Amino acid sequence: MVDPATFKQLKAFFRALQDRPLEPGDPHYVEIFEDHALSSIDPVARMARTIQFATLEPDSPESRSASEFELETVQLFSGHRGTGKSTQLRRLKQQLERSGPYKVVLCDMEDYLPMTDALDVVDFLLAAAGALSEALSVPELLGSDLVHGYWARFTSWLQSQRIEISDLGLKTGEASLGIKLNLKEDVEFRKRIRERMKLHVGAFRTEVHAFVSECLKRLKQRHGQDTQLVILYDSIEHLRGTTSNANEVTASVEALFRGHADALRFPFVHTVFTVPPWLRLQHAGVGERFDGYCQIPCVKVRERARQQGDIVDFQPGLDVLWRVACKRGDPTWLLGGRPEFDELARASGGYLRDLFRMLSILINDAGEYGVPVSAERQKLAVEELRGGYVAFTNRDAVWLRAIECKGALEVEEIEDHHRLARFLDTHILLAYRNGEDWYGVHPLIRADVLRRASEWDAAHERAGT
Amino acid sequence: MTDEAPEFDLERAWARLSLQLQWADSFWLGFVFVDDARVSETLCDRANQQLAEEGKRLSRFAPAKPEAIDDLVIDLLAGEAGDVAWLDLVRHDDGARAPGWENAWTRVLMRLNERREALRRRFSTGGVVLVTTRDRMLRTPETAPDLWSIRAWALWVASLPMLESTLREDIEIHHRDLPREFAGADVELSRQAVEQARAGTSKPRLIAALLALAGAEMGEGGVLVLSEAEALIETIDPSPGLLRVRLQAGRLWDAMGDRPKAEWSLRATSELARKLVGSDATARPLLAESLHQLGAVLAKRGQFEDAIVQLREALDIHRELARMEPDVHLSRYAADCYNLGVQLGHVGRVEESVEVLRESLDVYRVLASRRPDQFSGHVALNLGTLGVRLTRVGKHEEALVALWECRDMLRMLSEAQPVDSMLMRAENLAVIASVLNTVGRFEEAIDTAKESIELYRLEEKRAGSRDDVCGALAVLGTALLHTGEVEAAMSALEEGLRMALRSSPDTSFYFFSLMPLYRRACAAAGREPAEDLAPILARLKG
Repeated sequence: MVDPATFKQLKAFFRALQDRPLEPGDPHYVEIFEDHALSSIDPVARMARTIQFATLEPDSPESRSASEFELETVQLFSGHRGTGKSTQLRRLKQQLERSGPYKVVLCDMEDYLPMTDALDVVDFLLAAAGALSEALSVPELLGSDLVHGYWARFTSWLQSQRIEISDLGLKTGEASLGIKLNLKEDVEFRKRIRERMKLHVGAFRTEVHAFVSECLKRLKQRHGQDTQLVILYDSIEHLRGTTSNANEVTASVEALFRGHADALRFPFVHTVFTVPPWLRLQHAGVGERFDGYCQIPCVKVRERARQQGDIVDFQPGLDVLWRVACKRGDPTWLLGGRPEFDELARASGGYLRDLFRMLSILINDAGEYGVPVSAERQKLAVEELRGGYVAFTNRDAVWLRAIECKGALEVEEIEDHHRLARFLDTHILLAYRNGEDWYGVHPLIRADVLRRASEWDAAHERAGT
Repeated sequence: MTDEAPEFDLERAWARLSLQLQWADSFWLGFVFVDDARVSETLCDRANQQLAEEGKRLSRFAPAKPEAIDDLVIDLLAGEAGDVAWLDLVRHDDGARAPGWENAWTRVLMRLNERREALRRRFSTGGVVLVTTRDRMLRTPETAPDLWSIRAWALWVASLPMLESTLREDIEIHHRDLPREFAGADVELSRQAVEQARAGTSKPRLIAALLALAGAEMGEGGVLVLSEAEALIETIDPSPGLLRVRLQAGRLWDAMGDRPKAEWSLRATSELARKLVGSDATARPLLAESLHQLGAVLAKRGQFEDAIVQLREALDIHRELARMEPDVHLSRYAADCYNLGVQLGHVGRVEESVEVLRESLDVYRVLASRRPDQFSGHVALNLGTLGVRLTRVGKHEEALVALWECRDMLRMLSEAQPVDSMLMRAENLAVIASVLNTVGRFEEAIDTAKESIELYRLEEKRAGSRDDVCGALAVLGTALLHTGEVEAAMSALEEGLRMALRSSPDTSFYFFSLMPLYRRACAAAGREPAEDLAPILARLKG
């Protein structure tokens, strides 16, 4: 065991590495995108500019290059889990609120929608309106000005359309309470809603748009006529199917963003939707229906390999990870020096959560063996993490090898979309930016992928196929 | 998908978990993949104790049926800020008979995955541990990518040894218990032979007579005679004949319990055999035999790695010889194979062990088909050992198939030899019950454990008190606890504890297996320990 002072320092470092979304003002926060060597684009600055341009006076020369004819904007925002999307959305909120008359609400759609079931535009609009009404009900925005919120309004709207509440399986007195819960939990309820509203989709879209406009009006009444409403819909990228309904869910997400882009464009309001990283790839047109598409890459710790085995460090990436780690604790004290840290950083592939996980494992070890932790322990930590990335077959390895070599995602078969989504979801594939977006296999398994792909090749060569 | 994750043992896993409980001050989530329900229970119990000392709460969620999973999610989400929720789904499916645990794991993951932020808010200063079987690891990242991406750790933990069971999986099959040459040798006649040889001039004859006498006498007298024989052996030039007597001497040392001398003697024998093999083909079977015997002695001395080397070489030779002369060498091939499998298990090379035990089982099945009277027992023993090893590599269903076949064979054998096989049957049933507990089939475990206890009691009546029944009582107690029959569990565990205490000192193994179960039963029943057990439980807690 270590001495009490070391123990205390280890504990503090351990706690600083725990997973949680950071607010931009957090002492642990490091602005990764301020380093232009690392990324030529700051996604938050770009999204903010798109919103700001659309709200500037029309004769502003700057605005002409953006959404000249738009009074509202809709942008898509994507990136791997753990690359800091939620933190960046918080940063966007802060940046906009500081820069002008923007009232920004962050809606976590995970609280309103089932994330493993196919999506319908009706479900989505209902959830989006409900989430907005709840987000606005805080005292600093509208407080109780919305009276009953959207759930109550929706029941009235149903009645106006002569849709019986009881047909949806709800009791009259409990309808507004039950809608939110059932929308997320009850597949039969969603089916009933879709069924009963299939002839009312257009009317419902109008109703939701009217509600959002009503919200904006009330905000302007309360906070001044210049007030602009920005809605950040988070966690939509978490939508995914299971093995049994993956294609169905994928298709429904595509249909929503491809086929109902107009429904998602709330008049006079600026919206940002987080979307899965595979969405844009599957239908290149998705991004064109919206006013912007930004993706957060992993921190680039290596240059893109032009040929197999050609791995070159990207120093600015390693430097930024070093700065991130130094904000949380003292990596030199823990590991022995910068070269040891860089080894871990390379192994993380620039994926911060993996870097933090390895550091946490080593802090745990240091609690028993002291600091700095030995090279052997550092290798074991890498190995332990690698254990979480073994979920691919030799056939997958051939496919992954091709992506690793080309740096691009080329999906030949429709069935491969689910595979692609799975690998992006589970970080077997990581996205980077190098002027253009490129993709690579997680460095922890790069050697395994190449080895297993060769085994597959050899087996097929032997079989003559 | 072949590459395995690094494996933790229970203590290393606990070290990781304990520090997490101690240090974490905001929401965390961990995964444990383990095939042994007892590991999950032990980790959970320890975590509960550690948290209780800090005034915190652990809630354990272990559904009795897959269908209960949906209600469980609702209960889990009702946790409070500093709580730790422990979701135990170390339950194995039984194919068509009880499908659903795999689906339950998928369902709970999907539901929690989309409530990640709700979990984060609910357990804002606590954590969630999700525990299931190792075969479900590969699908977990895909099923719950959001949970997976924020995991503090994911641990692959090894199963515990079958502590509750009493199967003597390390029983080895020797080619013969005593060198056949000496079986039933008469002491008087042997002495006369020695006297005659002393009167003559033939050293080999004297050596043979001394070995016969040593085997007949055994004990202290035998040791003296055998020492004299060894000394004479050293003076004889190498020959296949000498090799045979050397081998006999080594085996006699082993039979007399002097393992260091046996090892020394058998090493010398195998060295001699190696020298002779080049010039005399008849030495090859003797080399294999000496390696087999040396391996057995090394294993008895706890030198398992070295034993494995010897046994593997013996196996290679016997396998080859069996191909040429199956009638002569097949049984030796099977025995080498089986014993190698046993030793591989001792050093934790369980997967290799399973492979080798499968090979030996195939050979024993061939032998049993030709001579069922002689080899059916070997098949049963092999099946029993293979079953235990399969459990250790997480192949519980295959293990049960092997163990059930072992049970059926033992039943059949018991019709011919009811007394001899009673203990083995009891042991086999205790192991089956333990595996059933591990896979969460508690009702079946109860019936099987009761049958085992009944046989142990019959054996007790016949041959006196046996503490082995404690293991079966522990298994029964575990199963009853899981089915909520707390009073019955307490009764079984109390009986086991009292028996373990009576049989001390070498039964502390059972006592310490039973004690935590009994404490849990007391807590579940809301009762104090029985009066006679309370003092020792309190003392041990202190």
